[in-house]
Amino acid sequence: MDRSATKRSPWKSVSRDRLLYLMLIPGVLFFLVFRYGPMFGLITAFKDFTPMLGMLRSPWVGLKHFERFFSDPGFLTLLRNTVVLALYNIAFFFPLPIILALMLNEVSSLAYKRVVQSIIYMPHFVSWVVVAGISYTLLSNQGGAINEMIIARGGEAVNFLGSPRWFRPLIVFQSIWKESGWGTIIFLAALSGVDIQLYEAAIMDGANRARQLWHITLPAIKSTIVILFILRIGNFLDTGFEQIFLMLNSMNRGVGEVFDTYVYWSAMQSGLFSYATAVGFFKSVVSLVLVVLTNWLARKAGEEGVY
Amino acid sequence: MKKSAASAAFDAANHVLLFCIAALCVSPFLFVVSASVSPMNDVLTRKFFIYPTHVDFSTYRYLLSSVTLVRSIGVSFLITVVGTILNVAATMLTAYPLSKKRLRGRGAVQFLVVFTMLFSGGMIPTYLIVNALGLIDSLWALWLPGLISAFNMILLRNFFQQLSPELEEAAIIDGCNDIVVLARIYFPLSLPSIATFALFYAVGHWNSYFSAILYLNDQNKWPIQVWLRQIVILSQGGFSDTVSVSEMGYVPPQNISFAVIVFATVPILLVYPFLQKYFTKGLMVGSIKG
Repeated sequence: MDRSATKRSPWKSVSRDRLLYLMLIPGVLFFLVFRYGPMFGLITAFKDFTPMLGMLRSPWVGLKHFERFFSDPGFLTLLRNTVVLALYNIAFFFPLPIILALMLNEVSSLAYKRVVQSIIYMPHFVSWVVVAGISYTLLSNQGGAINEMIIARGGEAVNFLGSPRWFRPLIVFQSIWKESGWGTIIFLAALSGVDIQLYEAAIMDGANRARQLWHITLPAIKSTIVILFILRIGNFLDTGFEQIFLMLNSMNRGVGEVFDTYVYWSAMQSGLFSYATAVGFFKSVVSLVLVVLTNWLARKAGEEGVY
Repeated sequence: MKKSAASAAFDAANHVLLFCIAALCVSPFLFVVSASVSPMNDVLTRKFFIYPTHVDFSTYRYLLSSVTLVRSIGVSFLITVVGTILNVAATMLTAYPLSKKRLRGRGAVQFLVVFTMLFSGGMIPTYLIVNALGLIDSLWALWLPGLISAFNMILLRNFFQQLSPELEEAAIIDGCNDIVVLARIYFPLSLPSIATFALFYAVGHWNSYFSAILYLNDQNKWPIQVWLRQIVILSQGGFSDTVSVSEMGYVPPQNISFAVIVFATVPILLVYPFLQKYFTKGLMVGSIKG
């Protein structure tokens, strides 16, 4: 093809590619209206929004809603709930897909490996409503299967669903059940790229399986682990809104309420749209800073950045 | 080569442990399915079980006679099918022009897209926009706000870029325009990755609960997931405050929730084996890097 075609005048190249620009219109409109529109809508946080006046005509009030939020004792509770839950997830959930992938990697029978994979990926495709529904039917203290079994063995029913003590373990266990199998995919992909000759050479040199794991397998997935860890830190405040929303009730709210659920209740139940927007704005900004910071750290550590 | 005793013991333990993990993943499903086809009495006396001793389809008969539930399953199918078609079409239409390096303004549009992956206006401003557009109580409120996943779009753009430019040039010499090139050449060549995206979009629509809660007040438009939630809460005594009133008008028997869970899950699990071969292949296309 004639290379000079790309160097023609701007108007000529635009006119030649007019069909391509036409194709871009729906996508660009979508991003402008449903992604940049809400960003512009953040001005609501600096106004006193009333549905009558709408986003544009509601009066400006400066930082009133931010001041109210930061001086509210509930702010620290929200921060603590969110951070503790995120730490629980990093400590108990994060290592599991790695361990599971390493276990699958040691299986020599391809058929067995594939069957196990197919089964452990399955929960990922189930909705949180179903996970919550199954949790209720198993754990309820009014006829839930697990509690019925405890009672049948002479024990006392445990209020799994309505006690602050059980909320975090329950959430983490749900995440583990639903996502740890699916999480192995990315590690298994990295492991499938490892040259089989490395293992053969190691066996020749007399390395046992533990040493092969340490010197070949783990280094092969090290950078994937680092990237995923960084992504996790970048999304630190994202605690899985729908999951928590479905498991929250008046009895575990004290430990279960996180930023996202608080934003929802403030706006949709109490009608405090501006206040809720301010809380959400705070969360978005902190998330942005975390993502940029962790990405910068990754580059410094010699890993490829995420974006 | 002969395995050492330690190595063989490790293999045995590894196999057994993986079996237990797989059993842990699948047993809740088996319990729910078995309980849904068991008479109420069995559910009460047998506690946790993974196969039914007596088969009784009365819960299913009861559900299929409920206009509300049959309609909600129809609504869920409608949301999923139309939503996925819109997602795939919009994602392809946006990814294709952006895969052409010669396109003027490409960098600006890409920046526009990538920035949305780092920062978002959040739930309430999005709600206010959807509200201002008059989409409340319309199914478009479930389709439009998530029309294109920036991440999927960029993966698809990367995939398009890897395809040989000669294909496009040959087609253009033969008199095809860009739309025909996309539909006749790029679409079939990228079918594995498009199938993967379609799967993820479809699963997202079928499983979506919160958008319906947020945007749809009209109960006639509620998808199955919302009703599942109501029924589970009500049949368990209903102490969660996410449910305001008993819209069902009656308290459903406890084992009804098992059958509704089955209805809400089975369509996904039915397409799963067919798409599995695609998602392991397609997911790797373009790697995790955006």
